[in-house]
Amino acid sequence: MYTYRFTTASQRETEELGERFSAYLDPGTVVAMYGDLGAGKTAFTRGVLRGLGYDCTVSSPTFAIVNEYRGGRLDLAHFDMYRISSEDELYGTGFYDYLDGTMTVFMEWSENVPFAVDEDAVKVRIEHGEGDIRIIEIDFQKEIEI
Amino acid sequence: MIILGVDSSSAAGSAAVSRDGELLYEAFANEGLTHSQTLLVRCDEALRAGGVRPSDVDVFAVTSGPGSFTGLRIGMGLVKGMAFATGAKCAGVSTFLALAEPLRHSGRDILTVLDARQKRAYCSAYRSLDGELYKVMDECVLNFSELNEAAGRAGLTAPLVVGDISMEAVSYVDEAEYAGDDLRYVHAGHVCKAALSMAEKGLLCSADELRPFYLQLSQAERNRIHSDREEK
Repeated sequence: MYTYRFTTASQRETEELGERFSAYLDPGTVVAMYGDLGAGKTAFTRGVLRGLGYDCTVSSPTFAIVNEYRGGRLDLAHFDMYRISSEDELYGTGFYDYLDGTMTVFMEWSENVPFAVDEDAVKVRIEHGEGDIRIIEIDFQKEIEI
Repeated sequence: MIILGVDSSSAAGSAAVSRDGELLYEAFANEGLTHSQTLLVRCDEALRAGGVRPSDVDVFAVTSGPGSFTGLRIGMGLVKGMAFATGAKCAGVSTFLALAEPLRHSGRDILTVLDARQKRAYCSAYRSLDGELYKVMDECVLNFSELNEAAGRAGLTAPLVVGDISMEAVSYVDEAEYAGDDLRYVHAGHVCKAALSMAEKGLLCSADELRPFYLQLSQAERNRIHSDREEK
């Protein structure tokens, strides 16, 4: 596992990082995201989706729990685990059915579902720096250059 | 008695039609979770090939769980819809029973195991005796490392292991035997057979009464606590 560290100075830069990162994703890749409210998890995911060819509005699925994006370079399921606290609740979202290797899965608020994060999952941790600055750490099994 | 059996409890899906216990037709596919697109087509195929009209079906049977959340809901919704339309009875067949069904005449103990993730198994067990299957272990969730003790407590002797994780689970249980690749997945023909035996025992229900049985972890944990207490 490699750990990469980036610093972005604005939401736009966080999105652009996500866009470049998207090139390294495959069907079945699970990306666990960590970070407080307003850290930029959704901005990062929005960039990823743009990189995969989705030209649409991307918002955090806080109430829907999962939004599906189909038809781009990869099909992607975007989860928000903010309101999930147990394995049973997660099961009841159909989460485990998305892990059949055909879809790329992004999970915001992975802090809430440690039981659902496999060792080989990609991890994206976003921390607040000063002002709009964000420190973004990515754990990935692959070597990436972004 | 004409039965349409449906299974979509896992990535594999199937539909079958039986008449008086004889399998007329079975369609099985394991091409990924696309049940919402394929399951109704498979039912239609099974009915046509069996020369049976939907209104001729006496019992609509479906695996009721445990299994994939989405899969169970697709199967349930489909069967409820058809039975509601024709007024026929339903059978909610435990996924465990459907897995054990082909071993009904084996005269063996049968350990049924389904993946509960993270080296855990949803499990139950049956004893085959004189062509009948007797449940000898209540549905529960166990770590693989606890399987052997649970099998011992249920009095299982050299059990045959069936279910999607049977190949992994078999090595955890003393003298257990892998029942083979064909018994890792439910086949709708076995759902029909199990439903027939349920009909004979008066265990059918209406479309409205049919319920999925998710065997969620919290519930399974409670079952385990309960059976531990009984033990003491």
